[in-house]
Amino acid sequence: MTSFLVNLTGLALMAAVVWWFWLAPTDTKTKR
Amino acid sequence: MDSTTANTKNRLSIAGATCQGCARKIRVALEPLVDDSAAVDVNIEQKTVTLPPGIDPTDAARRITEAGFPAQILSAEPTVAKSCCASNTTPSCSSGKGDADEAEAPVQKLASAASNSNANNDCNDGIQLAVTGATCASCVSTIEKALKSVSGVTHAHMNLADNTASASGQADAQALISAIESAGYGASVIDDPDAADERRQQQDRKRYRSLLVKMAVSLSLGLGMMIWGMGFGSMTVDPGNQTTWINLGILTLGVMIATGSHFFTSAWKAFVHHNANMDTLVALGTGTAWIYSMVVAVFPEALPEMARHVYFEASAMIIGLINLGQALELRAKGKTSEAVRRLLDLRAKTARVIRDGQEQDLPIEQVRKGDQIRVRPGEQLPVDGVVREGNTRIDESMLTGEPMPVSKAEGDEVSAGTLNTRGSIVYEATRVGSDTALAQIIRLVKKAQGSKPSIGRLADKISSVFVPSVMLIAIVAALAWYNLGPDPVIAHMMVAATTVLIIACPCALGLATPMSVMVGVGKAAEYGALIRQGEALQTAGKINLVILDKTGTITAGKPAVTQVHVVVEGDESHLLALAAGLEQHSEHPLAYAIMEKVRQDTIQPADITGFDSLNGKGVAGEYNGDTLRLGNRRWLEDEGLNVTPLDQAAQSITDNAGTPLFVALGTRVLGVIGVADAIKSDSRAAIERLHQAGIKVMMVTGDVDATAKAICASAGIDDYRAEVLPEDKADVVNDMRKKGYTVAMVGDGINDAPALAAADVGFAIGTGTDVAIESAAITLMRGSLHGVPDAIEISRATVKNIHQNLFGAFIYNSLGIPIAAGLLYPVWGILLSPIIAGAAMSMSSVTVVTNANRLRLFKTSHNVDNFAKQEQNQ
Repeated sequence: MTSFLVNLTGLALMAAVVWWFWLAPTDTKTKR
Repeated sequence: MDSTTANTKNRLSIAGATCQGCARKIRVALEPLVDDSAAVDVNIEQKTVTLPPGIDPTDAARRITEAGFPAQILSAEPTVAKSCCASNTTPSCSSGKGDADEAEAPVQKLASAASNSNANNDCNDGIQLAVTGATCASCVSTIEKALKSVSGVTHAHMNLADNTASASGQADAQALISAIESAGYGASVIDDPDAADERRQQQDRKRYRSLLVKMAVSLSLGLGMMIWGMGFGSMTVDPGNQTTWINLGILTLGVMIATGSHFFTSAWKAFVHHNANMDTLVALGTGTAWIYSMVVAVFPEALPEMARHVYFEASAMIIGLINLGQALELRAKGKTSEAVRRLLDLRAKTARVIRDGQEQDLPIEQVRKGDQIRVRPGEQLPVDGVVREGNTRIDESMLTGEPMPVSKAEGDEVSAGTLNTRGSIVYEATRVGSDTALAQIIRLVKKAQGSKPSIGRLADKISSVFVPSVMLIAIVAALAWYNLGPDPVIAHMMVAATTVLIIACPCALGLATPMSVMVGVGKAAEYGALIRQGEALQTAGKINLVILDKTGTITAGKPAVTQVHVVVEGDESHLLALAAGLEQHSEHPLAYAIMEKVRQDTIQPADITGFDSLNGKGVAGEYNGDTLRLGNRRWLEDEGLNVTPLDQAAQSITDNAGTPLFVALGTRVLGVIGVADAIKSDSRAAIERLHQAGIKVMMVTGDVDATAKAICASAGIDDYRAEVLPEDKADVVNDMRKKGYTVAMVGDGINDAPALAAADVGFAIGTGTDVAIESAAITLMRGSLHGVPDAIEISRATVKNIHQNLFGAFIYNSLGIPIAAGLLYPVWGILLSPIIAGAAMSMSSVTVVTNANRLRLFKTSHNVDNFAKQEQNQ
């Protein structure tokens, strides 16, 4: 169970990084 | 016909024209070029000729010179205002050329070209901003993106080396500042670049001291904890030392806030704007280590016994080491702009101004245009101006790189920053403050130092995705350790993730290109080569064909005595003395050449009486009761003299593009003097240097084939294109480019401008015309061709330096990150400590900056000191 949660957290963090830095709409991106 | 010629009224200076008859002769000489010779404006008083638009000035100058009035191209008056200037009312933009009544000195020409270039900048490069908070390549791409997002911005550029950004287009300054601020950085408009520089230097000094203090505090704590841990047990938490570790954890947090808050605030600002930078990695790395350690200290039971290790010392030491790295980087960065600082140091602080007959020392800021300024020997000139009283020799080497002092007399232009070596002069201030040639040169160098060659764009692209990618790698490494690693997996995954975050260094990537460009451009300026674009620096290194214009580039552009042949051996000095005795009364261009020759050889002109000038024939006078004649062959033959003994000598002169002038005393022909546009003394050596660098050299000229061939042979040029019309020079450049050459064009005339623009890199000789200087990417402030190999050698060295830096930064990251992730652990059991990673990260950027600084020691293959000695011996 712990192992599953740790891995899930890791994957979630990776998804969050990708989303936040590349996919999320930002002021800069929308203005462009 | 090129646009320059088509749209401009060109002005030529003429010598020897004294009456309306001369004016008529000039108009007649120009008849083949113009439909209506009345459209040619000949001003006898000012000794200028203004050509109607569409006339090639070089051709016109040649025809006027052939008619007996040495002509030189002065300037071009645009008949159609530049679109930029049409809407711009700044003085720099409206600086017309109409007031250029006198031939400008090289430095002044450069200043006006720089001024025009700046005028264009005002229109296109728009606003310069000082940026704070940018630390790495990721910041550069974030700031550039933010600026480009502002509507109306067409181009944006951030320079990490001096923390300035520029945006071109129609944007409002406030909108640009808001865009940068909303990206998490600070910005302010640079109104006065000099003041901004000074402010930045002060801030840098303050920041340097502050970083050193912070480094000392955090390293003391980190080292203390390390020693304590090693000396009094271990870094693991047990019930006996739990409270101590909790207290130490709180103390570490305090130190982290006090000495590393800038990492955390910058990381946060970037994060909320969906950006990540170097500080993000530092904050995440040290933050992860501290949180993990605090969890261990507060809840040791929650973790297996093997994982109860704390890393407080790592957090403190990483912050300390990165602060140290930033301090060292700041110090090294300061040294890179030494070239500019040396130019800034040339500015005099005060001027001895004569007002109402009183001499007074005034601060330089109070000197006004039109003030009379006295400069004594050994003093620096405070502003630009025109000599009104006295004569002297001025050392202009600081601006032009020209080692020999230049003679200045009444009416000559002088420049701020140059050194008065001999006499005392009074001169009138014509350009003050930021309009001086020196100020313009400083602006030009700074602008080029901030520009980025294409090689740097690859690094920018990579670094814009670098930090988030490193974050992903850190998570993958942590999960890999958790799932595959040995016990204690929790501690191992934390160490691996922290080390990956800390070792990755985008700052090395960000600094690799701008640091080298800054030093390279500064170095070139020291050698008298002004590089106007960073891109030219990169391209100049790849040049494999140099095309040279002949007149004014390979040759001096003015007639000089090249050969002296006498009938009776050893009679040369006497022949020259006789010729000079006659020619001292003449204003013919060929007379100037002979007078210059006797001045150089310190020969006293013979005493001649009854001087007479015979148009189209020559000059005559009385010497010791005999008739002395100096002139062309036909005239002497008509007078019944036999010149056949000198046939071979005369042929040799004409073969070398010279004019033979026969000298006869009574019925005896004494000798023949060859006058030609001589090859500059150092052209051959400079061409040889180009050959040594593996570069092919070609010449383009309007001369006939035989003359071109002779010049190529004596200058050591590989190939030539003869009888090339001025407007066809650009076609020659394009042809050679199509053949696969990377072409540099070197020229000085208005007619060279299209060819200079067409070449991969255009080199304008600084003594040339404004238009040529504006069309070229590199300006050689010294009239010597040595500037070309100098600039090429410096470019090659700079590009090599950039490659080394980029290679180092990439290799560092591509080796460092896998090692930090623990790739070597399965084989050798090596897992890096986060402290080692912190030190490595700091060292990587320090290494890049130090390597760039190494360029400052670069010397070209041309030894300027030897050159100076050579000149003195001549």
